[in-house]
Amino acid sequence: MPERIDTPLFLIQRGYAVHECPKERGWRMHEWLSSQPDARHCKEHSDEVICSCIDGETASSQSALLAATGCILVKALAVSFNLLTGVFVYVIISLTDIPNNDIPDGDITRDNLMTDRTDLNRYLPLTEATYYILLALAEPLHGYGVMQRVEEMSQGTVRLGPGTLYGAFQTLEKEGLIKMVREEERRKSYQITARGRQVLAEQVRRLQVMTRNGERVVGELNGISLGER
Amino acid sequence: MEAKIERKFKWFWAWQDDKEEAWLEEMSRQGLHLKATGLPGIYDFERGEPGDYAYRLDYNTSHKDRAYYLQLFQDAGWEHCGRLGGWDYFRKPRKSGELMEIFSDRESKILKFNRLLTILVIFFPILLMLLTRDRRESDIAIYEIGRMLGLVLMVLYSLAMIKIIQRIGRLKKG
Repeated sequence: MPERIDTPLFLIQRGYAVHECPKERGWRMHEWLSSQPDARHCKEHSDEVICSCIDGETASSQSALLAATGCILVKALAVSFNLLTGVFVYVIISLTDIPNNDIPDGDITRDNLMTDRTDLNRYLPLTEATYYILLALAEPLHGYGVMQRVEEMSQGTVRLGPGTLYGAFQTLEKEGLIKMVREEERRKSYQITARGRQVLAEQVRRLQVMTRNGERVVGELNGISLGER
Repeated sequence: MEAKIERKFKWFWAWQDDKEEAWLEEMSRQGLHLKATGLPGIYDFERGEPGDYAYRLDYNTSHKDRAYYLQLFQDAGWEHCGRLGGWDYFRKPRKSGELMEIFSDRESKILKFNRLLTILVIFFPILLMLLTRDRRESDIAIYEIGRMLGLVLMVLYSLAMIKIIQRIGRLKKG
């Protein structure tokens, strides 16, 4: 067991003793450091490195290369941990919206549509805004064109704000339901893709089922209320 | 004629964007139209005729395709009148029969606050780690001040996250 050096070199700070490195007594720094269970606080102070330990043991030296290496490693670990957390959060976020641009934009047969139906369900139901945007993009249109077309098609019931439209374009493009076809004078034109057409067709089918059921039930209810009268 | 610039100081937290919009609209009714935003809490106004404007704030951190983004708003009648942090300030003269919102549905309004929340969530662990990692400086006073600032920042951060989550919750309920 190496003996303990109790000569304080610098200061006593917040209860932690700072001692000089015991190198000149023939200790090997890495052994000394590794014998300290909590040798983990590192601070670079101009060209010297101070390592302090929770239990009050500290090594400091301009020439303590091994200690310096150890400290730099610990510091690097701490920094990379910070970075890792950031990367981790970023990965989680990017995993939640995986881009879906690899869908070929060709003609889709009826069979494909049937097998894909469960796959399509994750896009559905479309919001009213998204539904109308996809309808409007049957032909290439830029943002303002979509706003006008949707207002006109929906007879003024759906009006799109630019923030809503910008976000919808971004999401739909990422999902591969629309694609950019032209860019001129800072205006981008988009058009629906084959995938987008599939999703739209499935949405329309669902809406038809909904209206059929609705009409039937509402009709029956009206019949009952008429009969009661 | 040289336009007169008036500087005003007013502080809004990140979750008070609706209050900020209302205040800017009130300023415009008094003839003070937002000209530029500089540092947080500092607004430069141009003195002019009083006007009835809608002010709206969007939050975006991505900088790619900004020209296209601004063009889209401009085509819809919104004038870009400032940027601060990730916030974009837009203004449009109020006219009956025109849509006075930049977000026309609940989903996209929620997305705006989700973007804001994402940024807070990403930076929170970093702030936490900066704060918890021990740093013993020779000058203890400076160390303590730094620690205090960090703590205040963290309290604000937590408050912002809570407020924004509450806001999203209210929007979801409708």
